[in-house]
Amino acid sequence: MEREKMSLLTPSTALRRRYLHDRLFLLAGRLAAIASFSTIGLIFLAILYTSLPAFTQSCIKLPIHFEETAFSDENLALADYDMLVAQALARIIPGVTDPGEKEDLMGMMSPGAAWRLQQMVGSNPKRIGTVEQLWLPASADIDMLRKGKLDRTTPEQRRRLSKRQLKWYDQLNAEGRIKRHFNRVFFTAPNSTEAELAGIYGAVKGSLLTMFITLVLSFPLGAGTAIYLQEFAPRNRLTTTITVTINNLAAVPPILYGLLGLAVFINFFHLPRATPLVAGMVLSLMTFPSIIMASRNALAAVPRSVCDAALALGASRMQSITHHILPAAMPGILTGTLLGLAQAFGECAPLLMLGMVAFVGNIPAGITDPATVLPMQIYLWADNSGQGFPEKTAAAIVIMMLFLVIVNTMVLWLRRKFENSHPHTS
Amino acid sequence: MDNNTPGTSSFPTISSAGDDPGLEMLQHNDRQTCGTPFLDDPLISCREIEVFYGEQCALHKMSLDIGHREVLAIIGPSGCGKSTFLRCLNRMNDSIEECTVQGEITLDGVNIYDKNVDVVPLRTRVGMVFQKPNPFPKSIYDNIAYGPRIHGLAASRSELDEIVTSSLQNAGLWDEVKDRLTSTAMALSSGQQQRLCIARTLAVEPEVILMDEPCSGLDPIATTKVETLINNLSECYSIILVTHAIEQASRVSQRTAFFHQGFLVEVGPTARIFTTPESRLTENYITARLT
Ligand SMILES: Nc1ncnc2c1ncn2[C@@H]1O[C@H](COP(=O)(O)OP(=O)(O)O)[C@@H](O)[C@H]1O
Ligand SMILES: [Mg+2]
Repeated sequence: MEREKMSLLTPSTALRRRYLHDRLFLLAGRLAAIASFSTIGLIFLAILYTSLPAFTQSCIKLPIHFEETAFSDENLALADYDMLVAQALARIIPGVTDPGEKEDLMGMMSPGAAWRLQQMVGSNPKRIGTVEQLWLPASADIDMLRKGKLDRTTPEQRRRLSKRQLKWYDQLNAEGRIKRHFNRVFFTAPNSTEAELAGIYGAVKGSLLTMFITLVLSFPLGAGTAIYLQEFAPRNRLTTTITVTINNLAAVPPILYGLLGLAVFINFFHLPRATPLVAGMVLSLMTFPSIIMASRNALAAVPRSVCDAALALGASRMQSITHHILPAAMPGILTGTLLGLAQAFGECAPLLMLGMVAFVGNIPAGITDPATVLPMQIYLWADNSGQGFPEKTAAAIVIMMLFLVIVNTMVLWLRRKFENSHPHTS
Repeated sequence: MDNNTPGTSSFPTISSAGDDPGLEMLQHNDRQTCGTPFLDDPLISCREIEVFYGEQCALHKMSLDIGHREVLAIIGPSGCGKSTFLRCLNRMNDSIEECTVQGEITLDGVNIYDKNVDVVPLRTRVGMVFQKPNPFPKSIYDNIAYGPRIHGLAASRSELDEIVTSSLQNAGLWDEVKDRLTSTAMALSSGQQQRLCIARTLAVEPEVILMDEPCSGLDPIATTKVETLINNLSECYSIILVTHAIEQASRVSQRTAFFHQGFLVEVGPTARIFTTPESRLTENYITARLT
């Protein structure tokens, strides 16, 4: 039977059905891509939008009189700074005498206002005796009102600001005494129970110290183990067992590492709880297997021909590895390490077991100071229902994502460099 | 490029391991090496060597001498053990875990498989050029200087410069690269890369150079250059050249050895092997590839 010739111009039904399948598959793929991208994009935009108020802080301009009588004590820290704030408020809103009203008036300012004054006098005692117009932080409720996050129409008993406070706010606003300033405190302060005083810096520094410990421990150990296993170790049952164990370790739930750290580092070795030192040690246990696996893959990807060339020239095994294989594999090893660190950076579960979930009101000075880390800070703030904390939570997430973007950019850059310098491996 | 005789050169024949002509089963009397494997004053002599990859025997008991300043060509179908034999001579087999070598190979009367022998001096005396050009991803200069540097052959920068210059000159590459010694070797053409690899081997001043199909990836012009180079080098070095192209063997070598299925079938002066081979296998292999 002779086969019918296929027409070049009008595709047959079978061919048309084939094209239809192709098109359906393509469509499904595109829809999946669009769905995932738009979901991620929406989440990110929502977080970014929520976080924006946290980057500014409403301030009220107050005429502060640093009167000498207030600083009668030698110790400047003992002066009554709250009184200075109260006097300044009384100057711009005169006629408040009732104690309850006075309390309302003081409630417009953040406790941070007095603290700021104390810092200013401490850094420059010559201020005593002068008068200054200063922008001082308003309370979280005023801040929210200013940012349009407080509904004036809710009935007074359920509203966080009284009728008087709203009236004063409008008065000050009309005088141009209320303004939003860049929230420097957020980037320089440790955590605080007051939203307008709480900053991310304590957690960022805690995270960086923890990552430093993790890097210092897991990179040399991981890369060294990988080099030994890949290049030197004999292939026998023992090394196979070790390899399999390491691969399995990468799949152990992180919280188990936390339990291990609690049992070994804290309860047995009595290392201080909730410190970057212990957190870094536990996280390096967690990243160690993934660094080993990534490094071994990078080493295995280096073409043996270069190694052979060195051996044939009379280089020792060690020389051929350190001179040729390691430099070629280094970008891959570093990439694996960075990805492992990025994973550890966002890890919360094992650190719960180490007591890092506690409130830490100081910036850690070293690796043995109590500290918290960024993801833990996010967890803590997300749990706090106080005014202003949801915005802080979102802002902390944005900061954390920024760090991850930086790390991933570095990884990309390393990959590019790798491809350029070793064309025959790519 | 493999076996294009002038008459067929416009219709290049494709040869691969599968359709290698002259492949036929060995008979019992083929296990004896024909020809003249032994020399009066050998540089390297192999006695009764046998190579196994695990259980599989890749090279059966064979003996062969290699003389001073001669080019010995090794021919034979794919998988017959040519590379395996070559790797025995500078112990590159050591890095293949399952490979075992039995028998004795002596260089200047010293058994190189003796357990007291250090492979570093052995490999500086017996250099190797691989099938695929494998320059280091470094500059041209650093490629050549690597060997002298690890062996401390140059006392000063100017001495090193001299070694690099003379090696490149001897490899016939100097004029092409003298203006870009500091640029990366990966940018050279594959023919230039192969000559760079030869220059790199020359820089450590070996006595023997092992070449494993050095021209298999090169175009005809680059091949001619490498062959000329081998001719020039044979004045100072012993060269063992594995080749797939038997005309290359006839052009550059003084002696030729024919391997077949792990046996050394025949060895003798190149002219005699090509005109009056003793073994039926050699004859079949050569006639199938020359016509
Ligand atoms: N690394 C190795 N491991 C196991 N077998 C090998 C290895 N290298 C070569 N062989 C085997 O040894 C035989 C000879 O190989 P080889 O020396 O590479 O042949 P040729 O170079 O003549 O083509 C082949 O059968 C091959 O399969
Ligand atoms: Mg080969």
